[in-house]
Amino acid sequence: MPSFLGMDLRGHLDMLLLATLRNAGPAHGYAIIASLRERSGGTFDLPEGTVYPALHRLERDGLVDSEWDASAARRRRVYRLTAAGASALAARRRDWRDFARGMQAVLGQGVREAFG
Amino acid sequence: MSEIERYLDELFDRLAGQGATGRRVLAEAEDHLRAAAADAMARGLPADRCELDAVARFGSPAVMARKLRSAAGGGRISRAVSLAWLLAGLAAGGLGLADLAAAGRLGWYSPAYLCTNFLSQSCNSAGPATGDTQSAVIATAAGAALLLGRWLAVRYAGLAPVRRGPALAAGLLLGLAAFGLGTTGQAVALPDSVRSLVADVLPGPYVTVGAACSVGATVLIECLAAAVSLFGSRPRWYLP
Repeated sequence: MPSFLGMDLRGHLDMLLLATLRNAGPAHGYAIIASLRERSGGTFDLPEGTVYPALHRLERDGLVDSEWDASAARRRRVYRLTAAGASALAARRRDWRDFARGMQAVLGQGVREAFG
Repeated sequence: MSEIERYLDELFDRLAGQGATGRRVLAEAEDHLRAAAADAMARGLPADRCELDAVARFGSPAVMARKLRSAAGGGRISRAVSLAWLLAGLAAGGLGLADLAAAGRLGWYSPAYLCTNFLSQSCNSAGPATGDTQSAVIATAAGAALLLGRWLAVRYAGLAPVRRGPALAAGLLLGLAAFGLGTTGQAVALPDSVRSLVADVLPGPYVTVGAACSVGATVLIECLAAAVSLFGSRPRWYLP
């Protein structure tokens, strides 16, 4: 599992992938990874060994759908967000906002105490 | 052979037995690797370096195959269910066939032993030997139904296949179970010569020894088969 500054991304990877598909629209795996890397300013440069299994798991759970796109030079598997995926993303975004607000309140207080 | 082709060959090997899922993963991997290498080449990097970098980013074929198989097939629970289903089908079918063979052997000497229409009233009054034949037919049919149902589940419902080792272990299990039952005089499928040989080799407490041997070996093999199926690191041969 990739980490960022020692923080485990487990649990957040699904949300990141769902959000990328919502923002970028239907896309194949390579484009999803590239989009995630670009939108995060290079922070989330996730390895393929993490992203593809996660995409397959999301599809198994009905949160994304996929189909072959034969219009390109090579056959490509294109993923798209399902209605269930959009609902799950909205719920996770709410959870994340609450979590971030709480963390900010605690960490912000600690910072004020430490630095006057 | 290029680095990408070498990687795809190994990934293909690791995904053996996965059917449509394996084919899809392989096609996705090839598209991704070639796109990544082409992008790097467009930035002016040498071709061999581009392929090496693309393959390195993709990760080990073994790890990738394991993660994808787990994601697609539901992981260990699916494989455990699949293995249990296979063992149950093999056990029921094998024991049923063994008893049918025994019934056929006895029927050779006494045709009245067999009952071709075991649902009729006349069969029920034919004596206990007919009941054995009925049980054998039912066990064989149940085993065949279990194996067919499992094959359909793997093929069309995404149930995980299992490695060939557990199936071979199941065959050995059946043999040992028959051996143990034979020593206790319960397995009519064993030829008289084998049973008398066992009695000669293990005089006296051979019944207890045979039963203990059978039960112990059965438990050991089931544990080993489950461990290989769930935690084996180099899946190469699969049974659907």
